[in-house]
Amino acid sequence: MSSLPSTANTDNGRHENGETSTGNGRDRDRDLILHYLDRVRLSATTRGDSKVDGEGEELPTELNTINSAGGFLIVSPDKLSVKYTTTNLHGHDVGVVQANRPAPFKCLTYYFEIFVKDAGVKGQVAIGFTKESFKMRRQPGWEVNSCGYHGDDGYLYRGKGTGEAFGPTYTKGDTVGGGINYASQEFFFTKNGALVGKIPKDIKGHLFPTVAVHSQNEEVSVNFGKTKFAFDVKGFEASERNKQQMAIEKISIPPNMGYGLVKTYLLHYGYEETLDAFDLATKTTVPPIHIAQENAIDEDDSSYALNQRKTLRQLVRNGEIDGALAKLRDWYPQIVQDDKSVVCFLLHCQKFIELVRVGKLDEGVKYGRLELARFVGLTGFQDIVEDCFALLVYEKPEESSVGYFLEDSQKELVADAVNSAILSTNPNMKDVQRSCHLHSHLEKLLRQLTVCCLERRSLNGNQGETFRLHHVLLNNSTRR
Amino acid sequence: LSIIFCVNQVVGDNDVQSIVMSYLLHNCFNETADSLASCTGMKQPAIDRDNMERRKQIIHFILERKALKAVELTEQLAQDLLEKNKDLHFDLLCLHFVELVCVGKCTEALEFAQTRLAPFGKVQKYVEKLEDVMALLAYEDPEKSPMFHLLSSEYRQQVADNLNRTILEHANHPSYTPMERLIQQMTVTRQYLTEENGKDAFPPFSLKDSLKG
Repeated sequence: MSSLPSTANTDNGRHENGETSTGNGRDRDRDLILHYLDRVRLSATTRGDSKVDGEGEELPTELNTINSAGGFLIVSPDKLSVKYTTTNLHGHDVGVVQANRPAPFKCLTYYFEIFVKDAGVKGQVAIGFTKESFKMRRQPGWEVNSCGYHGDDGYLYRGKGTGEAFGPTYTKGDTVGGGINYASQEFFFTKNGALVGKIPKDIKGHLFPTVAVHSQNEEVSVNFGKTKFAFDVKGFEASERNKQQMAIEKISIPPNMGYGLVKTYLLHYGYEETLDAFDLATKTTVPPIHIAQENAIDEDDSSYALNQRKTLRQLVRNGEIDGALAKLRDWYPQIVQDDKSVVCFLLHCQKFIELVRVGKLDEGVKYGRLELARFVGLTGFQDIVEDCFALLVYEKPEESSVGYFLEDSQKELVADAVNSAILSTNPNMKDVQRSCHLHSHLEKLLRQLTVCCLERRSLNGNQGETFRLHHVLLNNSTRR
Repeated sequence: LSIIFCVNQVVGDNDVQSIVMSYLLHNCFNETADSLASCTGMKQPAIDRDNMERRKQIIHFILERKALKAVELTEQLAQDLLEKNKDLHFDLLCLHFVELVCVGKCTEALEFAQTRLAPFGKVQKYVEKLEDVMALLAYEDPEKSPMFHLLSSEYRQQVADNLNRTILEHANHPSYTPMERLIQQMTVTRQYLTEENGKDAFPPFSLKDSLKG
C-alpha cells in the first residue's frame, strides 16, 4: 500500500528499490546528478505559477438536474431549490438530488447547508453525502456508501435502513448543514448554526453533497457557499487546526537540538565565518558537554575540508568560475577529471551564464560550443543546455522564462553541488549515510517531515490539506 | 509525480535558510545572523533589534550569574512582565540566592531569602522548591548537595531560555522558533502514522536515530 520505505531515511526511495546501498563513488555521483539537475529544473518550474498538487479543485455550485430523481420532484430554475411534487407511497420514491460536483478534498473541510422552506406533509427531509452511483430514489443513508441526517426523526443513517439516534429533528424554518472533516475523517452536521454531532467517515472516494425530500410539498433550498452560512465553518476549522497545533506544542523538544541542527547546517555548507561567529557566541551559552549528551547530533566529519569548501563557495558566488575550476584541479582533481561529471557541467554552464550576464555573447557562444556541446545527447543534461543557450536570444534575458539562470540562486546551486562533491570525497563517510553529502541534518529532518505528511495524506485517500513548509513559517511569524 | 520531486518543491532553500536565521535571531546570535546573511546573500527579516539587544543582555546576565541584574533589566524592558509570570520571577530570585551561597555570602543569602523569597512560600506550589533552595545553606560544599543541579550551567540556560521566551511572548512575538515547531510536528506526525497504521508499518519513532545518516 505504501510506496515508501517506512524506515528512517526515505530520501533515496527512488533509487533504492531492490538495491543494497553500497555507497560507492558511482552511487554518489548518480545521486549528485539526479539531485542537482532536478534542482535546476525546479527553478524553471517555480518560476511560473506552479503548485505541488492540482489544488484547482472545482466546487459544487448548484443542484444536478440531470441525474436527480425526476418525476418525484422539481428543481427550481436557479438549481438551488427542490420540491417534492407527488404523494409518496413507499421507500423507493424519495426525491433525491445531488450537487453538480463532488466535494473537494484537498482542504481541511467541506461544508454546505439546506434551509427547510416547507416541511410538507411528513417532514421527511434529509441532508447528507452520497457517491456518484447512488440509487436516486432512496434516502441518503439508506444505501451502502452514503450517509444522511434525517429531519423527521433526527437520526443518522449510514448504509442501512435503520439509523441511530443522533440529534434533534428539524423542520420548516430550520437551517441544517452537512460537512466533512478530512483531518479527522468524520462527517459532521449542524442545526441553526450549532454543531449537532459527528461520526466517522468510512466511505472512500468522491462524495456528492446530497439533499432529499419525500412527502408532498416538502421544499428545501440549498446553499453551497454563495451566501453566508448559519454555522461558523471558519471558526470550526480554526478550532480543528488549533487542536492539531496543541498536540504539536505538547511535545518536548530535546535540549540543544536546535544548536546541533544549526551547527551541522553551517558545517555542511561550509559557512566557515558564520560558524566561527556561532562558536564564539555559544561558548558561554551552550553547556560545554553537549556533544556527549544523548540528543546531540553526530557532527562527525562535517568539518571535513571546511576551509576549502568555503573558498570554493566564495569563488562560485563571485562568478569566478575559472578560479573555482583551477582550485578544484589542484585540490580535488578526481571531481573534475571526468569532464562529463555533473559538477563540471554546472561549472561550465555557470561560466557561460556569467559571460551572458556581462553581454559577452560571442565569447559565450564559443565557450558553450567548446565546453557544453559534449553534454548534448546526454539525457538529463541536454534540456538544460538548450535552456542555457536560449539566454542568448533575449535582449533582457533576466526577464525571460530562462531568467532564473541569472539569479543568485543558480550560483548557490552550483556552489552546493561543488560542496556536495567535495564532501563525498571524505574517506571517513560511512556507507550507511548515503545522502550525507547532499543534505544537512536539518534538511533531512524537514524532508522526512514532508514525506511523513505526504504519506499520512496518501493513506487518507489523498484527502486533507497538504503540508506546506512555507505556510508553517508564515503562520509562525504571525502567531503568538 | 515522484515523492522526491514533491519533497524538493516543498523544502526550498529559502525556507531552510529562514529557519536557520529565525533560530539565530530568537537566541540573539546577532553577529552570527549578520554573517549568515552576508555569506548567503539572504536578507534578514525585519525584527525588533532593540528588543533583541536587551534580551541578549538579559540572557548573558543570567548565564554570568548576575540574576538580579537580569531582573532589573527585565523590569526596565517590561514593567509588569515578572508580576504576570510569578513562576519565572521566583526562579530568577532563587538563582540569585544560589549565586550568593556559591560565593560564600551566606548571611546575605539568608537575608535575601527572608525578604524576597519568603513571600513566595505562602503559595503551596513554591514551597517545595523554596525548601530545596534553602537547604543549600546546610552544605559547606553546595556542589555536593542533592540540589547541585541548581548550580549548573544547564539550569541557568534553562531559566534564561524561559525568560527569553516570556519576553518575546509579552511583546507579541512567537515564543518558539519554526525549527522547534517543525521538530515537534515531526514527532507528532510519526506518532499519528503509528497510531493509524500500526507498529509494523511505522515503528515507534526516534528523532535521534532518524538524524543519523
